Amino acid sequence: MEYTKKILTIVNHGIGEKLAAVTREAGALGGTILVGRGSASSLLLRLLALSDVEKDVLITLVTDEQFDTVFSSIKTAPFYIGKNRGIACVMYLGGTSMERETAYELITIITNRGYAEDIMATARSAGARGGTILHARGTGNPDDEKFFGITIVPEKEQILILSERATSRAIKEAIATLPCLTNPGSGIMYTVPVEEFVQLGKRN
Amino acid sequence: MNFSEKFKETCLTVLPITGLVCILAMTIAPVGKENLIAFIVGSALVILGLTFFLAGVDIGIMPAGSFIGSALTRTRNIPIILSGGFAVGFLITVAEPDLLVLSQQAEAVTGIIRISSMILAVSLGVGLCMALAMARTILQIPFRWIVIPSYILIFLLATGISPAVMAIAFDSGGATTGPMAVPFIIALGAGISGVRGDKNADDDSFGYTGIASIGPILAVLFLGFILSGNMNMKQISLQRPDVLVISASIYIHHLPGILKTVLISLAPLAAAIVVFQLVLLKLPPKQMQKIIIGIVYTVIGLTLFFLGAKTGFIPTGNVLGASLATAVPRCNYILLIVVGCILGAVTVCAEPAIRVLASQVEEISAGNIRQPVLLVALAMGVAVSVGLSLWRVVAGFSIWYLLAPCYAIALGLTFITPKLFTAIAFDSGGVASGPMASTFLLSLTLGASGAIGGNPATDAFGLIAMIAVTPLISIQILGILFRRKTDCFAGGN
Repeated sequence: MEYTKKILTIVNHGIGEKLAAVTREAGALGGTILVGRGSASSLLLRLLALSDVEKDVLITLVTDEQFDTVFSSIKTAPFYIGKNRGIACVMYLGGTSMERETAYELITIITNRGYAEDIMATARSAGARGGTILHARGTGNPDDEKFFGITIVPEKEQILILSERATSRAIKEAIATLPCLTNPGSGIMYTVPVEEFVQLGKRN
Repeated sequence: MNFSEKFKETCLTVLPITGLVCILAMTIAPVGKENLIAFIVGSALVILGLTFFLAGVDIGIMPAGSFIGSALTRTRNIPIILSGGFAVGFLITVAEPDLLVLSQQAEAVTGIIRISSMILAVSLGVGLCMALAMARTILQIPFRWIVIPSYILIFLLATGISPAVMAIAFDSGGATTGPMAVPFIIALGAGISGVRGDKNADDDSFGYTGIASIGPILAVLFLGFILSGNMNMKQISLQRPDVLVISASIYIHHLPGILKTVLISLAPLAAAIVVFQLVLLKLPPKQMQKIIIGIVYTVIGLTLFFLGAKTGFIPTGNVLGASLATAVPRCNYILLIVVGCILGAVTVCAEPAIRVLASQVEEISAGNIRQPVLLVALAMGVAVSVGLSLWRVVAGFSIWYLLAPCYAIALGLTFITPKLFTAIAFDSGGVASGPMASTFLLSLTLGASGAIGGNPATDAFGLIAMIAVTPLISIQILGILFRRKTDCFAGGN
């Protein structure tokens, strides 16, 4: 058995556990939940600095046989009421789809803590609709020496931005000019093609 | 961080108090129509204020504190870390409005402790304790080896000093860890442990508030000890709350004063953030902008909160206490004590900084210790302390019979409680005796004491000191139960 697809689901905080239970019932063998924060798209809320919403990011690895039932269980789960919307996207593992052009891309930026707000602002002005920020830790350079027996590791922020291929180039170029990516050693950025993308809780 | 969610949360914590007081006022303990209206309006203001405050803390104070904590640790330079800790502790204390009030009281009572020397001593005490707390983390000294010697020293000093100075000392421990300072200290601790990769990091992210609230007690005791030779005691006369005539003008009348107090207490903190930003942090503009907006929310929130507490909670609490004490006089005041317990339990949940502590605990424990669990443990602790204090008001025995065993149990428990919970417990001891306790519960006790004919000054001291100690026990017991539970299900770790 080999996992061939990775499903990334981003929903409001608190729904992650319930969703993981639903996917397990549908055949998934497990799932990992990370806690992050997303920002609402309302301009007013952003100006008032009230746009942050806690998010659960659920990562599920599935085999080809499991994929259909698991993915449809995510799409039809009964949790997306009112503002409890979310997104789900699928990525192929093992480079099976590298030749094809996909419609969406997942841009990932890992940078020192504190820069996420500025990166999101830049990404938005370049056309991104939203993003999710995860708190992370660097594994430490060899020169991150011990300090009285305490290992000091750099704090990082990981930013996930899902965008259409057409706009993702502009977003990447805009972000690449920021000091957090131009200064050596302060951040990295990469993209992964996204095979399928759905907005959860949207009637269509 | 969602505004409407915060609003719902605060409603859930404040409305039980409002409901309970309304029911009591309409049945067994009438407080008068004016007071009841003032209380309901006050509750609304408190809810609104808490919502703004918590949102602002999330957006501004917490990130600022944790950025500063991690930046300090990253310098890997002991003198910088320790002096940074000292500066933060000193600055957030020196402008604390409660400290000024307490110092005036101290000067009036003792006649020898000057306002300026007391403010200086207490601020130095908090500063040194913050530096000590940071040194503890770096040198990996177990938390209990800081608090046990400190409290033993406190009790040794306390035996040789007049009860009035004692009262002031213990009160200053609660007063200096105000609603603006606590979230900042908590975030600072989280920031320090955030840059650490070792497995003890999470255990060490709490405990700073607990150590910081030792500073003022020791400082005042030392001050009293040095000056004790020619002390000239006077009877404390606590000011009675003004009789209220409810009208819109009351709120307008109180607003400028409260806003000024809040701004003064914020100023050194804001200055510290600016200095750190220029020298050490160098945060990008959007992040900084967000912190500033957050601080503005905090100011709005605290102003509304204190406005509501001052106009609604203090006068009603006082009248309610007196009313309860005289309601059914031939019941050995059991009713008063039971109602006090319940009010204590619901009131602590509305304490602004408690919410911050509880959510930080949930975050650090990765959702393992949910907010309600911690709140229930705290509520039980405070319920017991209010009950015991009211019993003491009725029976009139010395506070030492309660305080000494409580501290002995609390310090003893540090040997068998998981480290994380010991640190959280001592933090919540400092946090529980916040503005809600010192407005509503304190005036309730004063009212009851006045009606029964007790000594309001010593009774009041007993309450705040008890609220600061019972959480130490209840949270540590929670920790022991918690470990037993996780041992059963997960095989321990």
